[in-house]
Amino acid sequence: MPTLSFRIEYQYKDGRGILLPVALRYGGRETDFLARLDTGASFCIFQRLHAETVGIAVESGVPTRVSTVTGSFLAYAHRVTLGALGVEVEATVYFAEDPAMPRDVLGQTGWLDRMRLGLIDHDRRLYLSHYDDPADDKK
Amino acid sequence: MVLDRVRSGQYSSTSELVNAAVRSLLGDERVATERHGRLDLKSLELAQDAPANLEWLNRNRTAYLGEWVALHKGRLIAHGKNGLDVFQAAQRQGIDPPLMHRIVQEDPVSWGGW
Repeated sequence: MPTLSFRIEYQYKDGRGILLPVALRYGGRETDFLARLDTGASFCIFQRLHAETVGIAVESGVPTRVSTVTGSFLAYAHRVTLGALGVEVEATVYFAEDPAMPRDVLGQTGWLDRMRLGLIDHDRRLYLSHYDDPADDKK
Repeated sequence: MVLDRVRSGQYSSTSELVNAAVRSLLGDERVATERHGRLDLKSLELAQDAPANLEWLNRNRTAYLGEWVALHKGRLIAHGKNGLDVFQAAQRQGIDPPLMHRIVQEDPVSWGGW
């Protein structure tokens, strides 16, 4: 059995999902917000406001249509820096075109695929390291 | 950079040229890898402040439904319907950046992710 070690333990008390504080940086500017960890989401998708507060012109990114269980919406890809729970990575994330889209989601591509994640939801505890951090056993 | 050296005749053999190119490539990859997973003290501080901010949200959700709130260490700094105005109001009060959150009505049915 593999044994893993982690950089940080985080207690998420909120019953509305696993909300993580995120620092999003672009061009020397930063905005902070709470994003929901969603292991089933393919991408990191954020509200339009967060792009605007750091000076990103949303429509200058690559357009992508994001499908959800209730329909689809247009989002634009941008390269940003994401800091969460002490780990900072460069990532391609997506900003919703529609300012009414009310969710911020940390998904697989760009974030989860760079991390080593442990979850004990019963205790509301999350453990996190960057994938390249030393582990006791990565087999 | 390797090509510049080829042009100026710095390599005496093809293998020397290939070795130099591989070393350069590996160096670039190492730099790229080190750029990932940097220690980020600011987001650690955000994690430490998260319990106070989440507690504020749980206590005040109903009163600010439909609004953006700018929080800092469990305190409300600014709020309103226009997120950019709220962000800038917090900045004017010396909180830059605040923790921004839009309080929305929870879905009437369970949300199943994307």
